[in-house]
Amino acid sequence: MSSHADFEALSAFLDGEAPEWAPHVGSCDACRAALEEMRAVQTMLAAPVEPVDPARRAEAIAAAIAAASPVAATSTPVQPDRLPPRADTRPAAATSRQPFRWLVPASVAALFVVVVGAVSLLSQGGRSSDELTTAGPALESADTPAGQSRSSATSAASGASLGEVPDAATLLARARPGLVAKDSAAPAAPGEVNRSLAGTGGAAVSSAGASAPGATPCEAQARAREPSLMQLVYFATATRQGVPAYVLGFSTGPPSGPVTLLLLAQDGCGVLLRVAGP
Amino acid sequence: MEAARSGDKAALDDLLRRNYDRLYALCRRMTGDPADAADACQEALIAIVRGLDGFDGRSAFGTWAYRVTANACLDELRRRRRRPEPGLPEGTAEPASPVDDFEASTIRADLDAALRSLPGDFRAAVVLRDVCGLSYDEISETLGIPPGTVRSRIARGRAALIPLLRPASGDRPEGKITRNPRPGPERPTST
Repeated sequence: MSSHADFEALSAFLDGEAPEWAPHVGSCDACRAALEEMRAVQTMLAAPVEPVDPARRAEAIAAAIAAASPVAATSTPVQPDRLPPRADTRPAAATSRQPFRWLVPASVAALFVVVVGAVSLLSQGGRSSDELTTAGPALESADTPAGQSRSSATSAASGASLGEVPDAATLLARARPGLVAKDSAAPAAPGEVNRSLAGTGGAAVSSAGASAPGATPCEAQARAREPSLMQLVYFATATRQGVPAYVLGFSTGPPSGPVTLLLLAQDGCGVLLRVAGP
Repeated sequence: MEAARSGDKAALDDLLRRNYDRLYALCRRMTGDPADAADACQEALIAIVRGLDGFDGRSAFGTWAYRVTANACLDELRRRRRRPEPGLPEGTAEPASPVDDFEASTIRADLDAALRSLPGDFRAAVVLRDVCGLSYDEISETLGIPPGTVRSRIARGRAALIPLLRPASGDRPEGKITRNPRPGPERPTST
């Protein structure tokens, strides 16, 4: 082999996949120089990545274990090695994803929101729009005045959904209308939901205090995990890869400041997603 | 492993904990961003847990876990493609002006940016080889492509990375090695 190895052959030689080029490389400066360049890149790539945040690692593992429970009862085991490569070799979690699957529960939720909203409007007569409790989910508050009709956190959880949330960007996009409503709404009494959020499936909670700490599903667990969380200002439900979840939004500063959104598995309250909102 | 498959949460926790860091490293290099890597890694863990029932042990768990994780990363990259992402200008091999030279030096120093300039499939092949240390056969199995395509993608990925990562002041060897500077359409491979 007196002629130079081409780049692909040298690359394979570097990886021990083309040993037949050893005699030539041993006597060729140009090939050795090219190999050195490849080795330099290899060294850079193999350098350790930054340390993983232990809390984030623990959350990811807890969320994965939480996600296992509901699937165990419903999924059909797959044999990745018996299926064609790529998409079909993925385990059930990935292959079972179907585009727009969330539209079905979301449509049901939207219909529910519209019907309940209409009934609520008719029954409340002269109340101003800012006083109007949400047509969608609402949060039960420990200091809710007696006699006011307001859904419980449990009914809120079962009555509205942001649908399937594949990633943080989608979560933020779907929750954003509710978060904007939170910012623009007039102050409400403690525990009052600020504004109807028909169509968003989420509820902005009064910045004056919202629910009593721990009154909302998974709220206590979220606060225990992140003591810096302040007021609960948003609540909805969603799914991620079919895992039922709660969406909780907490302010992390002044009431009009940034909001941290947490997507928490309903089973175990493991963090499925965390995103800083507007 | 068997305990984890049978639903023992402590065993599952231990299995994921022991593998998290290397799976995260794959995600970190694949996505080029810590937050995206954490998201992709979490997706991968969920997929691994859900797929354990279907893992028949014919390949090593590590290889199978890498396959699931690489797919999660490629999904993450596809989602991210819909969002604006800083890209490298075309033809960055030879800076044309001092300004371009400065910018190119910055790019060279940025491993994440260089990796992001590679198409996802090429990036996956290079990262699985140079970060995870998988053999060509294992990468072939992981990505579901022939070994010849693995060899080609790794070579072309490296060829694209070298000019971006070469030290700005370093001497450029005067070799006669031909290489395709940017990954493009793949040639058919016989293997």
